[in-house]
Amino acid sequence: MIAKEWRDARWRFLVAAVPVVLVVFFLVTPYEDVVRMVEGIPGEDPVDIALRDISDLYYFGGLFVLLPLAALLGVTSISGEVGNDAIFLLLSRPASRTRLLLTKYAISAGVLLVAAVLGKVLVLAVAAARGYPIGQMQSTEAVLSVLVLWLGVLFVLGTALLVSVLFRSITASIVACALTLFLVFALPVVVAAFYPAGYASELALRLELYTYWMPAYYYYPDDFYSIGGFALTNFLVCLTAAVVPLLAALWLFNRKAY
Amino acid sequence: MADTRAEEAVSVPESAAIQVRDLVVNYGHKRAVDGLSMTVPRGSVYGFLGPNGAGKTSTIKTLMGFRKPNGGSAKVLGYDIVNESLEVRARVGFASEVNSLYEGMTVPRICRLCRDLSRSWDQDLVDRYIGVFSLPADGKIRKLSKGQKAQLQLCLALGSNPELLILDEPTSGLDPVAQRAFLKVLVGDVAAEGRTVFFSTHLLSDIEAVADTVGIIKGGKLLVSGDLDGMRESHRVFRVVYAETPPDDEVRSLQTLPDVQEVEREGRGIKLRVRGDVETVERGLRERPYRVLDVDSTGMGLEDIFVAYVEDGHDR
Repeated sequence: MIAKEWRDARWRFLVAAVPVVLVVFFLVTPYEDVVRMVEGIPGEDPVDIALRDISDLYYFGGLFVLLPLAALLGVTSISGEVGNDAIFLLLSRPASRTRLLLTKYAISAGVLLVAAVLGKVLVLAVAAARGYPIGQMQSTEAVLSVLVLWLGVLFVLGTALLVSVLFRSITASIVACALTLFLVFALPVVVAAFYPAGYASELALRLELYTYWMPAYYYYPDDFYSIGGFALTNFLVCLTAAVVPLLAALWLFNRKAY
Repeated sequence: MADTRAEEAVSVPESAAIQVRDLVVNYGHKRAVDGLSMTVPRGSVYGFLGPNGAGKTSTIKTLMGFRKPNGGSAKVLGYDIVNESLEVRARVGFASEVNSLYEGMTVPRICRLCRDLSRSWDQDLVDRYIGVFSLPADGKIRKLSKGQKAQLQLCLALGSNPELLILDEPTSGLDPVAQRAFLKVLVGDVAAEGRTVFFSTHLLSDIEAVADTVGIIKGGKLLVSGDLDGMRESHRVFRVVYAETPPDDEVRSLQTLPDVQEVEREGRGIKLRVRGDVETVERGLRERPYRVLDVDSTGMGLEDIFVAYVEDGHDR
């Protein structure tokens, strides 16, 4: 089962890996350029700016690669099995539905973790090759950024898995998953855009909507970078958001008739 | 190698392989199985016969735990299908009417997948049946014919060394040669090993070829169930030849006899379809108020029995 799930996932992983490598090579600007840009800005340390740039690149790159990969891994998990009738082969064996779903989830989560780690390693390696003072980056900072981003992406994986259980057709699952993720990730932006004008604090409120109500906001442990503390809020929000759709998918899968 | 757990699996002290009581299965507002009750004896080859949409697949899916019943209960090898579904599936081999194999896998790879998901696995047995069916041992599944895929599904169902095989329309869509090969193995090898085989079909030829017990289902209800020979004996066509053409009163009188299902004129005679106590009916036919020259009876073929029940639809 694990071997089969890994074989299913590895191609998606490889498809996602190619653009990542290309993007990282193109987007990491040489360290000398960063230093030149920072020169003349009083109070700015080029090392801090450069390391922050690297973290930002990892965060945004991670979002644009890991989110679709997580959605892709999750959305075909069950509806794919139903679509080719292989679900009957799996369900006719003495393996509980909980075990089947958790195995699929664990493999996908593992693939995403590997992708998150490799992405971080790749970004750091390319940055080091371009002269960034990577040695000054705290290792806990690097680990935490990977962990929180990965936990955050698990929300997408769980949501896609839930949709995959809900719908029998792969097409319906993909459409529903895309719609759900659009609503979740874009709704705060849409709400902010339609926020009534005329308030003095409009900009602040919009910013608040853009940030605190945006799931992806929590995937970036800003607390750690700004004050150096453990990003507990980010961690808890991401953990909760990861667990809830998984539990819902398990509940539904155990009751679903095939 | 065979796992000893497989031997433990067959030692459940129950006389029936499958016992179903008042089973109800709904699809939304549509009732697919409507108070079905039946018993499948251990060691039998039970043909579950019914027209398309009769509720055969819904019954099997419920027995396998793919869906929960909306009413009633059922036990498979003594285990409750709802609360002990894992125990049921550990002891039952199942092959679906549809191709549920992973097309991209090879035969050894899908064997490994099924082994991983089973409590016990007898690869020697699987290999033996792969040999019996002359399946390519290392072939890609997508390159197999439809008949070979059905045969492979049977091999995989047998891999866990089950006491009971549940097959949903196993020969559906197979050409006559593949169908014959499949059934030959089913009855010649699988049933001969003492396993119970419960298979659904709408093909009378399948039942005639392998089943020793049959149940006919229509509209989600079991119309009749019993051993095939006994069923043939209790379903007979009588031809009564009179010395003179009998009046309409006689025809009406015959229609009122118990167990007479259908009466029709045939020249100077009358043809009757009877199901039930045929001996009593025969005695009654020989004691008519009109002079009877001959009373002849022949066993009904399964097709006649099936058609009689399905067209009639009377519960039995």
